[in-house]
Amino acid sequence: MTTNFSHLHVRSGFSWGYGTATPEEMVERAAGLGMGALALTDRDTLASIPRLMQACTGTGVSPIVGAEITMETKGVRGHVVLLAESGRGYQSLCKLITSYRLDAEDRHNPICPLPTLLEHAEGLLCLTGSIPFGLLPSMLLSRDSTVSRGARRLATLLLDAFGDDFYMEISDDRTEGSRRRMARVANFAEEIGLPLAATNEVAYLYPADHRLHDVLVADANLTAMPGPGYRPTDRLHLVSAEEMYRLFADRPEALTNTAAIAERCAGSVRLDGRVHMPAARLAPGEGPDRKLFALTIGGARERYGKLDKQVVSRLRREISCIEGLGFAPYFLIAREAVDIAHEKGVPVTGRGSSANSIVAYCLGLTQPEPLGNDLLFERFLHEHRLDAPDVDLDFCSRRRDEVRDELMRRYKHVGTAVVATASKMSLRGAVRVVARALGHTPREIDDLARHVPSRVKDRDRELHPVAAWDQALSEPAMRGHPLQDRRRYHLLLDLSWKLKGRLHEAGTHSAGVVFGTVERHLSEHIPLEPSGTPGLPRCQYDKDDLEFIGIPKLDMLGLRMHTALHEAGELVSKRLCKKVDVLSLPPDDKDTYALVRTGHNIGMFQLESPGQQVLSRRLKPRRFADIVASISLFRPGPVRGDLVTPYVLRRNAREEYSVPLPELEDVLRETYGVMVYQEQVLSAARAVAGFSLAEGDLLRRAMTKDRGPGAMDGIRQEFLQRARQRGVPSAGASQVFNWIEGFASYGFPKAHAASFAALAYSSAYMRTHYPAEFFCGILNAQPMGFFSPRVVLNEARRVGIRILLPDIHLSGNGFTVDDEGHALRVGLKYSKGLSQKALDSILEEREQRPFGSVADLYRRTAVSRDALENLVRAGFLDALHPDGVNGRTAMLFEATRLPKKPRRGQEELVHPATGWESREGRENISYLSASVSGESAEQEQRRILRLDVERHPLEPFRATLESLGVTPAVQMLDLPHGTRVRAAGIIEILQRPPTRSGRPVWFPLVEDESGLLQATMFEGVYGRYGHVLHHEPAYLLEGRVEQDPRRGFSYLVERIMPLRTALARATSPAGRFSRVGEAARTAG
Amino acid sequence: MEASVSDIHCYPSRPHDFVEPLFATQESRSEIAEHLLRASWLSRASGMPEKSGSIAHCIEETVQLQRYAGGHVEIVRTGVRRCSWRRRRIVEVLMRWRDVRWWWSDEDQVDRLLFRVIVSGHSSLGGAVVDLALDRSGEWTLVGIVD
Repeated sequence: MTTNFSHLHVRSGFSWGYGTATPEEMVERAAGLGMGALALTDRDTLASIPRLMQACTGTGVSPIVGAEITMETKGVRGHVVLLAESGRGYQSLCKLITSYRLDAEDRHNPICPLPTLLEHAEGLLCLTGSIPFGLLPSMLLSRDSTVSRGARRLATLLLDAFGDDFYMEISDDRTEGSRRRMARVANFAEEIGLPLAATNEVAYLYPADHRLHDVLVADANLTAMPGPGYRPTDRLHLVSAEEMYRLFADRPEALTNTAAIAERCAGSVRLDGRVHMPAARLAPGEGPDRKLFALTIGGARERYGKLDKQVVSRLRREISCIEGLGFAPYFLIAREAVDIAHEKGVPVTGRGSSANSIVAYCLGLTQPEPLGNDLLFERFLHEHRLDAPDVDLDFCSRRRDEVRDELMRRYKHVGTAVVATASKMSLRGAVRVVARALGHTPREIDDLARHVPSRVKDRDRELHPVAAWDQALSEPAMRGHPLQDRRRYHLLLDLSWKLKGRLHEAGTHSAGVVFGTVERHLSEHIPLEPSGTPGLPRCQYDKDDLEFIGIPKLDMLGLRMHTALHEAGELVSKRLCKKVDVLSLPPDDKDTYALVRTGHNIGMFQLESPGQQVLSRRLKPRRFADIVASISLFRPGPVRGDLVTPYVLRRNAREEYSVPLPELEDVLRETYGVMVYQEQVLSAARAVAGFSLAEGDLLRRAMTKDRGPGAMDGIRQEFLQRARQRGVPSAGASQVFNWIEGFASYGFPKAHAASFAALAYSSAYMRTHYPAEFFCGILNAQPMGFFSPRVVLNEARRVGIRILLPDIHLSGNGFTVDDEGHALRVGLKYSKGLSQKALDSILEEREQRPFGSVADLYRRTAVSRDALENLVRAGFLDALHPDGVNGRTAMLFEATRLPKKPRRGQEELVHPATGWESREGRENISYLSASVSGESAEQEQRRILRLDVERHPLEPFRATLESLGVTPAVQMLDLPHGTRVRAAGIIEILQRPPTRSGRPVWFPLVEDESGLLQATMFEGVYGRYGHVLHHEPAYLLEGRVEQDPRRGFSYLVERIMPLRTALARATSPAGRFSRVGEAARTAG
Repeated sequence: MEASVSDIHCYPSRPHDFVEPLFATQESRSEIAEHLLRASWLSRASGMPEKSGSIAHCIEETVQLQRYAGGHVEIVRTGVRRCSWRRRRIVEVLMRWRDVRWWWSDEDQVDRLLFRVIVSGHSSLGGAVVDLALDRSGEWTLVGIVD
């Protein structure tokens, strides 16, 4: 028997909270089952379609584009399935989905009105939906006779709209009574003369996956299993053609119709192949190329003054390329975004490879000067690149939305949207999802999910993936964890492991915006949906999908460093009564470089991480190029490739360098023989093999993608042959090729580094010359950067800035600068639990007259009683009581006696330290000394503000720590090699970056009174003491100093003990630190 | 479920606004049945907390299926001492479905394939409709509800 069957009703993981498999898995399985076509019909979305199309390539499976459309008639909710039978059908589907999704009252449960569906029937084929939840079957099977009678009318309307392209779908979910239901539906179809189409509504790949499907449905509805619409079946899988033929043996015509539909629709839609340039706004009669030329030349004159030959030549080359590719409108829109920012006074800079372009520089999109910085246009764009260009703009994070919204408003006529993301479930997230579905309480869910390894990503790559539950449960962090009871939690462990990595939910890309074209509105290219922000549409495709279908996106990022620097600049300008522009500060400032060389870089953009601090001390930057190199070098790739040490040694003239071929001398001179930048790959290919820069870029791109050994061999032969023609010896050329190949995967674009380096320099300059304003800006832009607000404030104190106590009459919204730039005062928004309305009312009321008492404040403002108590505990109201800090107890008593206010939808402000609190161990920081000395006013203040306002938490224990032989962090750096030393500190972060050797190494960063100390822990030590790092906030560390002439300082930890234990022992009469190690070993 | 006789008597026998047709139709009967099924005092045997009670009991009995030459299959009841029949031939398979309910519960989980079949009757009695369940171990169970 010939079994020609293709599935027409398939839900992938993009049917959020319903489907379980990725499009790729579906296609692979369909190919394995010998099917010639496969439709994906996700719920109210086409999000899976670009991936379906890519996955089908070379598999023999033709993609069918479709969607399941949710509808409601006469109180019955159901779906119909629409399949595109042409490109026009795809456009109809996009428009239809956009139309009803953007108008939906509940964006999570959109309903397509019948007239909207009927309006968009062109090019589409309609199936009535599966049994029993399809719209027509639901109505037919309804016990309400008026509803079942309505089915006939609905069928007539759909028949009118779709004509011969309307089919009655029959499916058998193999639940009790399914055949009876199917017979009723089929009889109805016969009555009205509707052809049948046999399907199996697919929600998962294999029968066993029904459990995952049930879990996802329950989770999506925030309920325990069974979720709504639960069916006790496992037959919603991608069944084989043979099984479908068995199931529908009594209805061969339905199988024939299904095959005919598949034949018609398969491969009828093509989305790839060309770039769809957005439509720029132009004056009548004006062309985009002409406008771009005029703006570029105008910008060039502003930037360069008189244009020399080199500039003109480069401009000519770039403009001709951009015009040839038809990309001018894209540049014009980017320029318009920058113009809007300037009009509104919003700081803006560029980033990414676009800084290689002199056109982008002249348009004001990017800052580094391309010629002087040896930036190559071909790394950004050239005639052989088939994909869309990519310009990234950084705006002040606080006002980015203003600019974006204005730009989107201007382009509403062609359609605009932000870009979607598709998130996958982490193991920790999967535990939460399964635990909820299994009916655990919220508290149990928190306990079960805590310490489960979270996902660490470097761009699209997951670092240190967990291979199995065995590995996860053996992690020190999971010592004593409830999930260790594997018998009890066997189902949770099994299901969560299977859910890990599966598609979970749609999100919004942090920056991407897309636009419609001259020919078509955006909603005819891609389907749109609400993003969750009122009035902000989001396309259903993610950035990779957009690249596939050729829709360029403009990245409009919100950068908190811009926000911080802008505020700092404003404060300085106000204090000095002269304009200080943070984006054009005096270059080559010696004091700034001197500070960077000390490694005290907290707050500096891109230079503040512990690794960068160490690199700054080793590299000793003296000029802008060093900062560019520093930003490029401290990346996972160069660290793994061991580029950092040779570069540092050669930069400081402690090592000679050589290049494999004399042809490379010019290319590698600026980086001392080390290949640091991607642009150098292009130059090296030109110098050795005579490649054009465009060919060099294609070579670089080929090397960074996994193309298989065969493809790489071809590229190598081409390179060697052309090198030979230039007289380069084969051995040398081969060596260079290997070198480039090894480097290409981890190189960094110089243009991007140079753009970031400009901001890094600005931040370093501001910290050097205006530290109070700088730290004020950083603390008010939280959450941002690498460090918690607590550590940033402690750093401010360490550089000599006084920290003033909170005061209800003097504190501002955020931190404020006081005492002529020598002091910082804590802001109101750091008081936990305040709403924006309450905060505004405080600021407004105190302008009228000062507050007289706690009750007065409560009466005159929108402050809730809980927030009022927090204000008392944080010390904001000390001035309202004659006893100051000692009056807090009395004020708290008074506050508790005040009547409660209705909250009326006032949302608490997100505390600036929230992101840090959620990190493991940190929630205990405020209780650190409470465990030793009992809860005090200072501890309460720390708990509310999450800041060390009055002093560092370790200050009260200074003498005890000294008696324990603890060396302050700042003194450790200068200790001789091999010194055994103890340190104590509070955890700031625990990192496990990729290492050169590939061996796992942990770097706990701890902070004491004097500063930060990055410690190093190898596998064995981590295995013994790692649980302490995850369960305690502060530690006593014992270890050895290493001073490597090549790699500098490191502190190798050998033993760890919770600090509270060490302090308790040291202060008790019997306590002796000599027993600490022994005790810690026992604990481990 | 506790309910007094008065509760039952107070429950209207027809739905609100029901127009009694001159001749009862399938629709009108089903409307009344639906209405009665919504009564709070009405419980079904399948919803009983125990497997038996004063008014109904559930059968769940292991049986054997014997295949004979010629293709016919008989249900053989061996586990019960007193029963109305011991052997019946399966005449027709009416329905077949999967049941994987409560898979997340260690105690209540079910994973079986069910067949609703017509079995032959004695000469004096007609055939009967019974449900047979096949579990993962290959064991057959006669399942049904007797009200």
